[in-house]
Amino acid sequence: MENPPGRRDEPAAGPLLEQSYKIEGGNFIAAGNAATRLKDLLKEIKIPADVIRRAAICSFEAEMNVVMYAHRGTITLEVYPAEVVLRVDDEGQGIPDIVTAMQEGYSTATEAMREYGFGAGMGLPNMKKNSDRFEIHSVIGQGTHLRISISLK
Amino acid sequence: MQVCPTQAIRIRQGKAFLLAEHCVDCGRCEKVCPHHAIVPHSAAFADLEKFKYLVAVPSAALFGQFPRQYSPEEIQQALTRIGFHEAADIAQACEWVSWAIREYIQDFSGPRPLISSFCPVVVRLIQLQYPSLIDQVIPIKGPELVAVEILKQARSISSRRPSASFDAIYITPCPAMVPRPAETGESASRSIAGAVSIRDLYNPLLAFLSQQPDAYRWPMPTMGKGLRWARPGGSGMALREHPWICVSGLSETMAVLEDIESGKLRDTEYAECWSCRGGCINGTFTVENYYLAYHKIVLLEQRILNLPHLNVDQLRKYFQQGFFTLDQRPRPGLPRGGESTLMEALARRRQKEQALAALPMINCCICGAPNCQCLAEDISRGEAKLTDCVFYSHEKLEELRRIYGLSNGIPPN
Repeated sequence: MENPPGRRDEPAAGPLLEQSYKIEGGNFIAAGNAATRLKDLLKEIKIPADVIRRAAICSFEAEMNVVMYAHRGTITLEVYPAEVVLRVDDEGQGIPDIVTAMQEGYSTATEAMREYGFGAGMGLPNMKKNSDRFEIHSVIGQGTHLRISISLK
Repeated sequence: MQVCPTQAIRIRQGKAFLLAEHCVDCGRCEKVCPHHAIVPHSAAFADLEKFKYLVAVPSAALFGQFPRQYSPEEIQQALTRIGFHEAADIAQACEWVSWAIREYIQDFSGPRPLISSFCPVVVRLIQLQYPSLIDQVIPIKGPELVAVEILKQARSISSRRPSASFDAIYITPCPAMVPRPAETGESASRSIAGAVSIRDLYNPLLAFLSQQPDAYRWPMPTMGKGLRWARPGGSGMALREHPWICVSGLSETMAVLEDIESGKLRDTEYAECWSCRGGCINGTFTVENYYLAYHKIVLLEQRILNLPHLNVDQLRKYFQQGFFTLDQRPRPGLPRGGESTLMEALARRRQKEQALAALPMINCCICGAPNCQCLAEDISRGEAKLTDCVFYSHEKLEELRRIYGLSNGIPPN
């Protein structure tokens, strides 16, 4: 967690802070808890308000995607001197066509999910819109990995 | 200490102590203090003699406080008999502000929902704990400020008293509406000279009202549905087709603000938030039973069914001239202990985690913090030490015995 002494000048040291939160697939009652705790932590370490706003939206959307489409997952916050990174790793069905999934309004949500008020097809585009770097990898039948980076200027 | 929703109170050396950076003026502590030792600032009625020409600006909540036979118009008249020279029409100001909210929402292109700014506790809460939402707070003047603007305007038009100045006194349902003495420069309500609580005026007003013979009964209602602002849902009354929500109560408001931060409510246009559960008629300075007052307000707002229409063209002109715009947008509040760098904040967090790991986590409060989390936070800031926890220090117990004058046994709750 800490920079080892004497290595201060070397780039690409580990994150200043790393914290993981578990997400349970299919549990709509607890959905959003991980994102809220992550946000509280960002507030505690006095990250600028605008970064918190964007990170809160990204982490909530990411958590909802895990709840809706995966068996389980984790969201990991990494704080670096110049950026905040959210890593989302899930075990689930994966995304067959990422290009289509990134389009606004495209959704594979079931009726049941929509009844909960989710599945408007805005999740991935919204995350991309609120991040400075957005990487997505998915393997069908295994899961999806996101890396969302928000710059601290 | 435990009732404080923002954990702003600490007990040190046997005395309650306030962390000003955490306090949002909600008044919960004042309501529950068994010794009535917490006294909010508000001008005593007698202090008002120093002003020359006094205009009462009543909160809409005032009109739900009195027995049902007294109409708002009679209460207005009573105000002018107990020391005020004039009373502003708050119902009109409320209707105007509701219209302005609708106008602002329609023009606004940023993230939704927009959040009401009319409860100062909510604004302070957002400044301190939800700074990322600050741009969603509607920068529109509250009805009390707009009522003053209307009066100013009427005076500038009237040729009889072109420059007559006046001092506006707000008749407030809660301590949060009273400008803090330390913040006179910062306060948004500078056009209001002072505030008196509804509680302080209740007896003189009631005495005057009950002396009135029946022949004096006011013939025509002049105050309209703007009085709805006294209860939750009032400010959004002009919104009609826009999806909006109304929340009252501080912890309920905090839950909604959390959801807004996560983007959960982005399809909602407007969130009306009040710190007091039940809105201003349940403020700390109110007298009447809340449910009765609510009922009376509902009856009052239905009195006039066919209100004279708002002059929309006129209002739009005012709106564009900045008539409704707050002089100062709310800005994020200073964090406790001032600004700090990311590195400092992370170092503090590590200290806090260490302290937390060492604390018993039973939240007994004997150390003087409302829970172990808060003590750990205080330790990380150097404002407390681990030995403040009775589990670590027998001396702490001795100190408490000395302060509370106990020879043995545990300190009182």
